[in-house]
Amino acid sequence: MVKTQKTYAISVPPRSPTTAIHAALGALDSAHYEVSIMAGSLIFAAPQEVCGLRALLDYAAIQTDSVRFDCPTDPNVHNYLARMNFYEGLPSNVALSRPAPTLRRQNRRRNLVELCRIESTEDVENLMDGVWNVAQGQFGSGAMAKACATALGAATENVVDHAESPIGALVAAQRYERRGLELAVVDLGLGIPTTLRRNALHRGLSDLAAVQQALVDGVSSSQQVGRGAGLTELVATVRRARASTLAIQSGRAHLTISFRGGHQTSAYVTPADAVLGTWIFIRLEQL
Amino acid sequence: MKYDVAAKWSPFLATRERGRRVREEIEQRLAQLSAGDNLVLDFSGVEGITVSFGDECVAKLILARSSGDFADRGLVIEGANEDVTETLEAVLSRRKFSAISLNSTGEPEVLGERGWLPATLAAAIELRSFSASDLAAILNLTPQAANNRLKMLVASGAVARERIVPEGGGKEFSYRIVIPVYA
Repeated sequence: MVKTQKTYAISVPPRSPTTAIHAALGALDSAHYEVSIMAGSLIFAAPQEVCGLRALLDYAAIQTDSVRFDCPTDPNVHNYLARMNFYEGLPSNVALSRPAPTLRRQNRRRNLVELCRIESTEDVENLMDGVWNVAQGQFGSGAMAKACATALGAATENVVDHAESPIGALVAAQRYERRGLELAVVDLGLGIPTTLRRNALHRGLSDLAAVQQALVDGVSSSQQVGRGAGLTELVATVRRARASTLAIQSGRAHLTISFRGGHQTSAYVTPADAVLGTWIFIRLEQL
Repeated sequence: MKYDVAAKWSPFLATRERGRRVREEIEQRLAQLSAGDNLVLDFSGVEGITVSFGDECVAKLILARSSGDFADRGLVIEGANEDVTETLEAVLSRRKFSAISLNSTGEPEVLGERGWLPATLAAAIELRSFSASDLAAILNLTPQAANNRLKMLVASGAVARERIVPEGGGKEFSYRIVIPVYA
């Protein structure tokens, strides 16, 4: 295919760039020749931003001939991205505005899970081990830490089984003193609504209804017994914490469930831009 | 014979693909056993499994047994921690299946669908080697009801079923408890 000399510039806002990333992912196509991701003004990044930005970068590298990533000028953010392995294994057609810093690394397995890509069974199992370590840092070595590992495994193995994501799933986690444990999972696959609607029983569901329905035990894209537990397991784990939040974005659905002292609140939003793939964010504050 | 899951694979087990591979290897081990022997699935050292793995590996083993595969040999679970046990309970219950897990003292416990299975298991342990009519007598059941219960008990792995030819000819099965501590 002959590409037009079409360039695309994405301006990443200083904070909470997820909405801008969703819009950019929706706008990018293979007609673009060059993409510039301008993240110079970024002043805060957490696991969700790390996964989202890298998903954008990888997707842009697949869709276009050349990608330029304008690194954050704030040295703390630039170093944080490096610490989270954001700059590791970049596609060959990606150029950074400045070199990734060289860091003296300490073993922080009880505090963070560096950005990792899930494409195989082994990746899922290694991730579960990593999440177990960081969850033990937050909750001790009891059942909750194992439940976190199992739930993240369940949330990501779908990507191996049937998400058809061109970048696999990107996962990162970090434990914060005040905010608790944050985990993010991003894939750019078919998304929950499209996958679920493969099942004739759910064909007519809106995106929002499909995401809600996907949380019900036994609901899946197939009608086979024994399937459809991944997201149910995730919700059950998040519910075990006394204060926690689970956000799922996919297609034109953004669902946020919060648990505070035994009370559950849910918020449903139809975003302006359809979300490519499935984006999961979890915050576990207190047990 | 023991199959050490953690030594062969890893402390965390996920995906249907992994579940299928582990199940196929377990089936190979089952095929190497003689009739009346048992295979112990040792989950010691396994920290966690996902529902997909558990369904593809353990629940489908039970599904195959319910269709008659390896029905003449036993299969029990051992060393499963609380998290693994909880997941196995969930995957078996969803399919209305049961499996037998040995607790720390080697005593059998029913995982998954329970219903009348614990009482039937207790009767089978008491009888050790028996026919369907023996079980029907001890539990005061009709032969049909005893056969239905035995089908589930054989699928769970606690009991092995062998075909025998009675003196008067025809087709009959004998049953034998194959849980290690009682076998």
